[in-house]
Amino acid sequence: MSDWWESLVQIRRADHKKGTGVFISSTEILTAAHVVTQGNAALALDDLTLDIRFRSTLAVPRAVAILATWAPGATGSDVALVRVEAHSDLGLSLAFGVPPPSGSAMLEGVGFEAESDALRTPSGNVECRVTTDGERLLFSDDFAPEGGMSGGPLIAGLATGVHVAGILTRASSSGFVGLSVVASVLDELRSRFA
Amino acid sequence: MPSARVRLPAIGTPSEKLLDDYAKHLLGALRRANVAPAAVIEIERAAGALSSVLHARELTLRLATRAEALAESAEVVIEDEIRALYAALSVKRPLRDSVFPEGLGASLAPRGDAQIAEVKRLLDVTHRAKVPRSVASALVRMGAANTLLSSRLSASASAHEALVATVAAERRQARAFRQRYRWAFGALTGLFPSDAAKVAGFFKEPPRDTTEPSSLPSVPPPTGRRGGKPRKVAAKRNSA
Repeated sequence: MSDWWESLVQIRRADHKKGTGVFISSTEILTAAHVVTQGNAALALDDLTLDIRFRSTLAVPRAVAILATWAPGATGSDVALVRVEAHSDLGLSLAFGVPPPSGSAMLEGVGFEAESDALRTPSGNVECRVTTDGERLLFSDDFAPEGGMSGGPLIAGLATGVHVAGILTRASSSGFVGLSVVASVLDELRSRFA
Repeated sequence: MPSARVRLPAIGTPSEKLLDDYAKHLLGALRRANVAPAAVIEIERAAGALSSVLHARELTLRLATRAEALAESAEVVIEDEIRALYAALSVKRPLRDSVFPEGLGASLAPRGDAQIAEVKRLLDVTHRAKVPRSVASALVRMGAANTLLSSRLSASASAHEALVATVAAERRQARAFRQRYRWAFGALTGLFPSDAAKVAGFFKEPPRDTTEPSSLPSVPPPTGRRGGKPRKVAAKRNSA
């Protein structure tokens, strides 16, 4: 029995940049693509340190999957999965469609701020806007993720528990904060592990 | 046959106490004694479900509180804009009195949806009246603030609905946990029918009377070891 925050991971790179991720199953960490890539390519596994902070232990990366459409600066494809050795009792379940397209919901962003390594939990009303390509982008006027929080989960509280509804990717003056979790995107990422 | 006397969790016992006291004590005792694996699994499952929904309730409470604060701050912004409009129109008293027929106080009093309606009225009246050019920007700001308040009130209402749903779910899971706990008492009594003291020992009342509500714990320092060997600490910190 683990508490949800035990599934949080701080990702540290060999070039000293930092990001956040979250276990969404016992072997998969969801994060932003720009956290685990350099240019268009995934970083070498040796360049990634996956720190399960609330367990004071490290996860060993096995593979990184990014979308074929990912390129630095892209917004809708800024998502990645890192496969790790199994941590049987970790993994937050996903909430698809929270908020629904063109709708909004109160969500809490969670991530480790880079400068202090402290956990940050900004929250606010998050709106989902769907692009013509079908990408589900999340916007909020109420908060912006700080450096190091990229890849951290946007969590929702439902009657079934705490769920990952999206990930923080980057802040912009337009209020863009991240991406919704989409089943087809996860399926594509998983297929790229094969 | 002597019967074991134990204190079972009462209706209304906080979830934190059910988990931190009752579940922890029973599971610890059963594991130490290495008995009743089925009871351990059942209590673990019930405690896990309760813990999960307890955390969801804590999260929805934080979000509902935040949504309320955001809505209130939007209301305050609108109040300021109404005051600014009143001051700007004071140079033309007849115009001001036509826009604020019942005075400034009457326009500042409404809250929530009523405040949104009052701002719409002010925008409508000033749109029809010939207002000084200097007022135009204040009206634009007021319109934007009203849109923001509208979305925040809607978010606050949704957040409260989510809170009610998680509170109800928490009560259901707390009840399920109490039922499993009582079931475990029966099961253990069946396992040890002639040893009431042993059964009572598993269910000994935990010493703590009060439990602080749980919240996010403080963050431990970054892990400094990899593969059992000390790892170099990053000298420079950037963000990805």
